[in-house]
Amino acid sequence: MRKTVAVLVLIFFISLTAISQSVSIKGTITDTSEGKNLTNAVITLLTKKDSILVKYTRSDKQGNFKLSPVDSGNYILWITYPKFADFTDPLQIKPGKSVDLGTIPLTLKSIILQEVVVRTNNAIKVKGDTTEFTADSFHVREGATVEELLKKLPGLQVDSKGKITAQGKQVDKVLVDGEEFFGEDPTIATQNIGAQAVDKVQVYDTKTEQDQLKGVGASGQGNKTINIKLKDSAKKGYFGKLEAGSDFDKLVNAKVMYNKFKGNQKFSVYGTKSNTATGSLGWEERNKMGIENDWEYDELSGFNYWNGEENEFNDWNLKGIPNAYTAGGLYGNRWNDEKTKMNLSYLYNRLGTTNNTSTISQTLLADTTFYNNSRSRINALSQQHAGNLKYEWKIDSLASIKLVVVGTYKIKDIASTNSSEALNEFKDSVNANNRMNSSHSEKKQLDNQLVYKQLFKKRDRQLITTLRFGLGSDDQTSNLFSTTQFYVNGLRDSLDITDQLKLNNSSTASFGAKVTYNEPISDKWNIITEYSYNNAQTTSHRNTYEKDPNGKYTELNSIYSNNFDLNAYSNNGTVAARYKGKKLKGMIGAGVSAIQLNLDNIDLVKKTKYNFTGFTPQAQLRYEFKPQSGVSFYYRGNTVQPTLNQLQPLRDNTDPLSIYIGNPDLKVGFNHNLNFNYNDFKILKNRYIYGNVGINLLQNAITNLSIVDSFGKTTYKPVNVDGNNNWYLWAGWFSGQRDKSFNHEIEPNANGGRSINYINGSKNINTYASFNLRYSIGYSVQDKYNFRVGPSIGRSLSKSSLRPEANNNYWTYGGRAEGYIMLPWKLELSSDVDMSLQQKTSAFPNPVNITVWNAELSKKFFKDKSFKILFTAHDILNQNIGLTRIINSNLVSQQRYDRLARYFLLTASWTFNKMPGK
Amino acid sequence: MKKHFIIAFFAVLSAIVVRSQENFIGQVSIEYAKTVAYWPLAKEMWPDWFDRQKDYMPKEVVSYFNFTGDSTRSVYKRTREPHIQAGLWAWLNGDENEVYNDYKSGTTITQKPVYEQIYLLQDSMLNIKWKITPDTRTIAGFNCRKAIGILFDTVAVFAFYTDEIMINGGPEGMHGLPGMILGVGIPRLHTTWFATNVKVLGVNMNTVKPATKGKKTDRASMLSTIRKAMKDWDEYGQKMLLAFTI
Repeated sequence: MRKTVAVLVLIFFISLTAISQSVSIKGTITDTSEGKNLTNAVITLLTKKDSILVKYTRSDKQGNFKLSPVDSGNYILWITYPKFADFTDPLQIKPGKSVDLGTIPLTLKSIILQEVVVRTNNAIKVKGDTTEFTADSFHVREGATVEELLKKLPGLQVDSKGKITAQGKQVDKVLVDGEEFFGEDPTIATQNIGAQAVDKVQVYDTKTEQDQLKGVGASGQGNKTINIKLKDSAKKGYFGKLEAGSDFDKLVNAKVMYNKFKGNQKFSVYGTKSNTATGSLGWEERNKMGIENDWEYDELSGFNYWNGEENEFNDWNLKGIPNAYTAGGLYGNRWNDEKTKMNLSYLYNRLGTTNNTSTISQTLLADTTFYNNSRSRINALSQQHAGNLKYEWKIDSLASIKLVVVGTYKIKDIASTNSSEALNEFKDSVNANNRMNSSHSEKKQLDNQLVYKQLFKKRDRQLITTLRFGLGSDDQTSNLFSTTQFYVNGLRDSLDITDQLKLNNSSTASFGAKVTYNEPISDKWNIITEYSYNNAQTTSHRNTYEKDPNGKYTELNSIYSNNFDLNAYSNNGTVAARYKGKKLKGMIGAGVSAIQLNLDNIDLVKKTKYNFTGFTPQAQLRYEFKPQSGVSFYYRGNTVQPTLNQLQPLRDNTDPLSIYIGNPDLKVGFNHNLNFNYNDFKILKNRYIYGNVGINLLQNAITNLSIVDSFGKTTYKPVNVDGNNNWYLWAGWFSGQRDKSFNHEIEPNANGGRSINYINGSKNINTYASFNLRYSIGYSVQDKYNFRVGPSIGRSLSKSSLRPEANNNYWTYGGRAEGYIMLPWKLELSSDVDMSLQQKTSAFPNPVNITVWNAELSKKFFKDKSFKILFTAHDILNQNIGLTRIINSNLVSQQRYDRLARYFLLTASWTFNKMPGK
Repeated sequence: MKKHFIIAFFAVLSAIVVRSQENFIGQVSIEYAKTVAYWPLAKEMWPDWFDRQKDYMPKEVVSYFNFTGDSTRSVYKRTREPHIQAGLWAWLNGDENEVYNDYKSGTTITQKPVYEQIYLLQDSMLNIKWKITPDTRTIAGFNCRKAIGILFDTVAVFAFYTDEIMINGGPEGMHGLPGMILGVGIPRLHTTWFATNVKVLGVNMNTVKPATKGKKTDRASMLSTIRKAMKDWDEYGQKMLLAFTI
């Protein structure tokens, strides 16, 4: 029984669905003029409500069609056939009722050209096919949109759906300042931009297909495009930041930044004060302020190079306790359709530092060892004014000019006191030195660079001409007061007192020209040739005066005085071939240079000429076996010319216990660098591996021959040696870098090498290596918490052939842990710990353990989180100190220097901005 | 002889009859130029960076593809890579898809290299909701009608199709209009595809074969893998996800 009911119900439902689905639409398409049936006409069914395509078919050879199955509802039947007018008819389909439309006649298109009347007066301009309306000539209500403005313009109609007709033709594209795709749907632009912001409305024929291929966007034959040009004032906005922090005792940090833009003009000012860092702006802040970071493309190697200058105002180079101020301003503008661009900036840095340093070192000789302990205190004040002008002009689509002018003025004042003692192997004193230095220096530098770049009709062919002109001067006044006591068998033997004034002045004028030409040989091969000429003329006066009995520095000390003129020329030619295939890329080439140094020693009335020939072969090869995965090989060889100071040193007694003498017989050295690199980035698996290994092999490397006398005084002389090398390896394995999963990082790195020098007549071969391995694991849940723990272990090895028994190998342990947690009331807490443990060695009797623990508690206020209060606890354990260990051939030293240790800081920061269109 | 004459007569007659009707095309080989407007794309992805770096990026990147097929099946693949001038920087994805469509069964076999993995996607053809507009324009000599498509309920696609070609296909996975799609624009990707050349005679249907290399998958599982990998990539990931999907 139940079965029968089920079957009945089933039958009922089947028949029901059959009724609702069995509906079909039939008909026959014919041509009205000839009465013939039309084959392949497209019969389309659209929803009446929103023209959504539901179903389509084509008519058969007899012109018949059948659309089936069709659900009940309201439709539009739409029939098209090339060159015939469209047929459209509303159609209501009722359940269960099939429709036979019978014969549907189509008519050939007739085209009605609509006459266009264009008035011309001040408000309207006609230029070619473009009609331009000045928006302000047409009155609209306050707060009106562009759509309302368009309605007011003669010849333009806007219907209730926002569809625009211009001069009788459909507008299919609305651009804003020529920007494509602002809205393919024109209403996005017209209904969202205020009419008050509009400068001009341009109406023109949509471009031809060829033009369209270059641009983007849709257009139709004879359709119109509207371009809305905004007023420059509508493109204005600003951005700024205010920040202040203090420990309510000694430390004050403050930052003010303001950036305003109006059209293509940009204006920024900023100022900072810091007692915890150098106050330099970070990368992101520089970016926001519009300070340009210079990338330069090198045609020969095919790489972009970072041209950013390394400077002492960088936090990385900071040693000691800082007191810093910075200020800067920038103006940028672009005009002439952005073809001309100019940037003008001025930056000022002022960095005062106080640093206490203590150094312990050992000098290992074949038969004995010297111990040296020293302490110094340095107060330094560095100031720098830098002005920068950059002007770029795109003359046409193929030629451009760039001018860069950089001027810097640096002032540096240093006062230092230094005391040191040297002990022999029995820990008896051999010398003790106390000295005071004070100096004031001013350095001025002006660099000008003009680049002319010419492209050609032939793709990839290009000619780049660069001219450089530079002027510089360096003036220094310094005082040296030094007393050195020498001991024999622990008893004072002699006393050496130096009290001198040093006046050093130098000036340089340099000129350079470079021409680079790139010629494509085929799609894959390019030949690049480069020629450059450089000339630098330097005048240097270094004079040392002894104190006379009247207490004035009048007596010239000719040993430590040196006056010369140097004229240096170089000519350099390079040829390289570059290959770029789908998976294989490579480059091979070589450069030759001729360098001439003309030295005119004024003191000795002696002219010396040095000639060097340089050679720089290079080759690169990269094979990408998969996207984001590949191997590369790199070779570069270069000659290493001895510097003038190595050939003929300027005698300098700033440290009376280290004396340098020159070697005019030095030969040119050669350096080979080989590098191999592997990288494999699996994005879907979220795994990244890279490895890099390389070696430098040096022929005729310039190294030191040193002679240490029984008083611990060292004399250095540069000599050539063969057999020096150094190697390096770094690699990484990363996995799972994503939210809510554990991610791992393994980073091994190693480096080492062999260096040869001579000590007291004996050859010393020093081999060294250090290995480090870091592993870290992290986990994060976005906006809730994250943490990362990464221990590391390292080993440092070194051996000197002169003293094979001296053991200076040691282990280092350490690591970093960091975490973040979002607490209740939107309080954010983050903390990090850096640990570094360096084992003791025979030279360093104490292990060095430094643990720096920082924490930060912050809260953001306001809806846009623009206001932030931050409490910083820096170095909670008060252990932060700078430490450098150097194990360099026969010299082993460890230096400790000041770093800002424990402090607590309360900071408030507020960012504000107004962006255009708001 | 008489018989031959009659046959010839009818042949000529039928030719005249056919000519009086429109010439509908059943087999084509179409070259598409794919143009990525790189500047606006880069501006969206790296707004802070763009102004400074734009001179080191190409303004647009053009590559070429071929579509060969009839009303039953078709294949679409790249013929020419974009030429990017030395020193410029551009990162393009979803540029090497090889699409084979079977219109009778409504299925596709598409080879999609997605980063390190080559997928061979076997699934039904993309589901696109089309809205017909009254606009027209001529592309490669064909009068085309404009339709607006909605992909995944969110992404707008602008397509121009002609009913003179009796293939319901288009570039990449675009299909479902009563005719051949000769022009496509996807604003979200700042990309357009336009037919530059339509070849009607001598179409070699022997080349219309699906790709065979790759890890077999369906659309849903491929998407979930990519989505997982790009979860933290924000704007860029969303764009790339779309680029890989079409």
